[in-house]
Amino acid sequence: MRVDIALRGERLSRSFGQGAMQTIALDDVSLSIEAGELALLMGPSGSGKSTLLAVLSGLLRPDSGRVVSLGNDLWTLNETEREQFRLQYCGFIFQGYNLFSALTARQQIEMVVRWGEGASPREARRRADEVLSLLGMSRRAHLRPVELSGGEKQRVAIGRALVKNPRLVFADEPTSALDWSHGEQVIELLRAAAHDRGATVLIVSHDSRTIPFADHVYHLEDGRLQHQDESSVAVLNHQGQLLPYPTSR
Amino acid sequence: MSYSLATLWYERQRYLPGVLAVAFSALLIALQCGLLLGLFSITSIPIDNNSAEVWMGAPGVLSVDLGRPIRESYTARMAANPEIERCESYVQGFAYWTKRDGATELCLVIGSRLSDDSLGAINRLTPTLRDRLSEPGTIVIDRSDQERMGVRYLGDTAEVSGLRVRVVGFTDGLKSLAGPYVFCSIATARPLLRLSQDQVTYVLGKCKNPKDAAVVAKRLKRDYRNISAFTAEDFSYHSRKHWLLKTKAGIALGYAAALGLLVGAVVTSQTLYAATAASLREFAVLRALGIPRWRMALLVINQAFWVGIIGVSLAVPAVYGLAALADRLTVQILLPWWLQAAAAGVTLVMALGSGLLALRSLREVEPATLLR
Ligand SMILES: Nc1ncnc2c1ncn2[C@@H]1O[C@H](COP(=O)(O)OP(=O)(O)OP(=O)(O)O)[C@@H](O)[C@H]1O
Ligand SMILES: [Mg+2]
Repeated sequence: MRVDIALRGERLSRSFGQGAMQTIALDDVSLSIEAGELALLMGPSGSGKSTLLAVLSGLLRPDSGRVVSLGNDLWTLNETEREQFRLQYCGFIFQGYNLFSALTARQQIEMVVRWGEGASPREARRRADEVLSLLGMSRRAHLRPVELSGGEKQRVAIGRALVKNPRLVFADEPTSALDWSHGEQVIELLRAAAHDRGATVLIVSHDSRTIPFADHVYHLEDGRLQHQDESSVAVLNHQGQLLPYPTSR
Repeated sequence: MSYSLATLWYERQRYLPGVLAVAFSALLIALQCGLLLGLFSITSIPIDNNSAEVWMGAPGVLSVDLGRPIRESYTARMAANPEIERCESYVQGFAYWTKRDGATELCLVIGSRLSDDSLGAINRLTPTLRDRLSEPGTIVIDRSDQERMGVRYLGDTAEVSGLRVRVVGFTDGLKSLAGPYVFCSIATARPLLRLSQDQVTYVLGKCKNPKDAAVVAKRLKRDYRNISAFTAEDFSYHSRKHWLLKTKAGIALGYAAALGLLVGAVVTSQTLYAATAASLREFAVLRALGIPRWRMALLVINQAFWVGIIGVSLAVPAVYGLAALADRLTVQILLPWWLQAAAAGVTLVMALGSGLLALRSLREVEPATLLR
């Protein structure tokens, strides 16, 4: 069986600042993520996880290296083309919920469809309601962020990322603000998105409880990807596959 | 409901300063202009309060009170027009009014025919007053000017141009600007204005059909170079405009209005800027999702528009309230529809401009900052 690579990073490096103040956030990182899988990016704080996610998703230009995303060499595209690419294919879930405080759960999601695809209000509403019901939020659709719990807010944020049926979903610490039972639901939802819709999902997390949900785990340390065969213990994922889990040194 | 309106309503506390700034600007512009219009409408009171439809005077007359003498025989020129039903003489001019204590005051002497069908007599002159004025050397003044002119009682006397006059009555509510009105007969007025028997200041006409006034005025102007002619409406407008421009009050007003607009624009744009800046992370998410920046710009402009609309709507009752209050204080504020529309239009443009200024906050929207 031929494996379809959805997202590939080749020798990616990125640093911040200059001279003595320079931090190397990414140091020669290469990785390939298969289409339809849920990949987990782990590592201690400051190890460069968010930076790698930003580079792979087309939000932050690497100093060197190449990102091939769905067959496109992402960083040779111009700004507008990259924006268009993200519009068409990418969904994002960021740390914190980042919801407009004045808008209802439904409006937050509708907005993406209306503004992104120019859908009619009616169509946008239908799509938003569909996603909300998928997320078990149908009865909370009319509520504003202040009236929603943290888990509910995160589900709205996920709805916003999934409503356009993106082929790539990027999530930075989607569970960090939630207790584990809600966090687990969120990961489940993302996993379902990956497996049911064939989306490729890349999640940054430093919660080891998310590991069993992943098809693949990448471990980053000091901006370098740890090779999976060294100093790792195995973890069984939900499909019964053995996943390497590198222990921190 | 649109996202901008929903936001405006939900975060009304935040947008209130902007809305109030717009309302304040609109209020300032409307009231200032209204006040000025009200003030300068006084200059055309002699035109607006009698029955003349066509005014013929010396060439190049700029305002009704600045009329110069013409020959009474020119009356024939107007009378020759078939549309004219009748015409009559009218004398008017400034003269020195000397109070009993010797102090002088400039006054505007208006001499007209006194019959019931008089075209020139101001309509506040009752038949009784007109009857009394037929006696030579008698005058009527407005009660509001009584003190200023040092007139103590009915029948009191004073001097105009060194000639003795007697006050035989009062009108009410005729405001004057440059000098108080002195109403009298043509015969009384001529010596006060040092006019000879064959001189008048204006010839007034009435048409068989009032609609023909414009035709007559136009024809008179075309046929004779040494006179000027206007319809009453036109002359009224010209008189006001002349004083508005001559006194430079328009410029002072322009400054005040511009200042009001500037203050409004600064507050409004700051409000919109702060509101937009407060949602930078949300906008950044949308940017990450590939939604173009102009969508967000449109949202901000849309908010600016609604801030403008709401501000102007708040200003409307306030303007009417203050105008009514001013009226009670005998200050007239005129608010014709075009003035209201212009004030609303200018403030709306100001609000939209503020929105454009606030757009700079969107430059700080950077999706990469969400990934840390
Ligand atoms: N905009 C920036 N300017 C300067 N340094 C930065 C910037 N972004 C990241 N860094 C640095 O790059 C390194 C990697 O940061 P990154 O945010 O990728 O870490 P992370 O693995 O996501 O950490 P955490 O788990 O705490 O979120 C850190 O040392 C950080 O200080
Ligand atoms: Mg991070």
